[in-house]
Amino acid sequence: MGKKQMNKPDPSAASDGGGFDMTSMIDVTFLLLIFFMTCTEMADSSKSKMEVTRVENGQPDDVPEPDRLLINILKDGKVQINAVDYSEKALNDILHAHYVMSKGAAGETEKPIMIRADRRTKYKDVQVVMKMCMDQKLWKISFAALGKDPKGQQGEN
Amino acid sequence: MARKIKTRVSDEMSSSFTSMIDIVFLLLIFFILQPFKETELKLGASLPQSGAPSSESTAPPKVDIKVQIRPVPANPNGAMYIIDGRTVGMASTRVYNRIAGVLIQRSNGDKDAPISILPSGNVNFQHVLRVLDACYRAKMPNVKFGFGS
Repeated sequence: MGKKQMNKPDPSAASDGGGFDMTSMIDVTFLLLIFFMTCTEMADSSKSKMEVTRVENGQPDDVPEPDRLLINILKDGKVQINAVDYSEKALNDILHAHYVMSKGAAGETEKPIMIRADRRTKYKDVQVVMKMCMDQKLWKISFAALGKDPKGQQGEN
Repeated sequence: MARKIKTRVSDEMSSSFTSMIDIVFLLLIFFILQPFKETELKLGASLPQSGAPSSESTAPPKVDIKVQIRPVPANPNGAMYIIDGRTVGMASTRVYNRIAGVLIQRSNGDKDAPISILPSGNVNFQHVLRVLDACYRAKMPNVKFGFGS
């Protein structure tokens, strides 16, 4: 009788004490999940995919001005705003609309414009957009860049 | 009998956790593989104000320090920097450092000295931003972009 009991495994033993306690592992997993969820940059439709120039100086663009217009200029000179392609005329119209909406009594405006261009974009393509901004009296512009590469490469040429 | 019921309940509990843990691990792997957020920087500049009212200062206007950026025929992605008619060098990290020094030297320590960046249309935009970056490094924020070259 006693011999039989020793050989037979107790089914309740595994679920009570002999099982693997996963509580702490789940806690750690959830903490990791929350960490990565908060640190990950989700898709930002206002920023087109491109290689932005790396610079050493500049102000962090953590909190962009709410009324800022972000103009993306791709490598081939294509202009995009919120991932939509704009022709020269359409861009001129949108810049004019921005000027009209923001101008003060004396016709002045402080409407900020950010130009975000690929590092390989030819300057003449950027110049076209800058000229349009100038014609619409949108003089306050800034350029987007990335900080210094941690590997020390600046992506020359 | 009581022992049998207890075992069944614990089995059901563990099986209901399995799918949740699977999903959590999938989410975790997804977020680990996503790149970290890299904050962009901004470099401010002003455009020539054609219709803006001029200041009524009696002081003579300061002469701009002209920075020209020209393409290099041998290298379509390269650029040559010329400050006030003097060649500083071809685009390289060493030359970027030198540009800031030349700007300080040309301004005689005047941090408010106006700088005109005059790039050729065929140079890559990165070379233009590097000059702007050099102006920031020299703490000379009075930068304008010239048109017409």
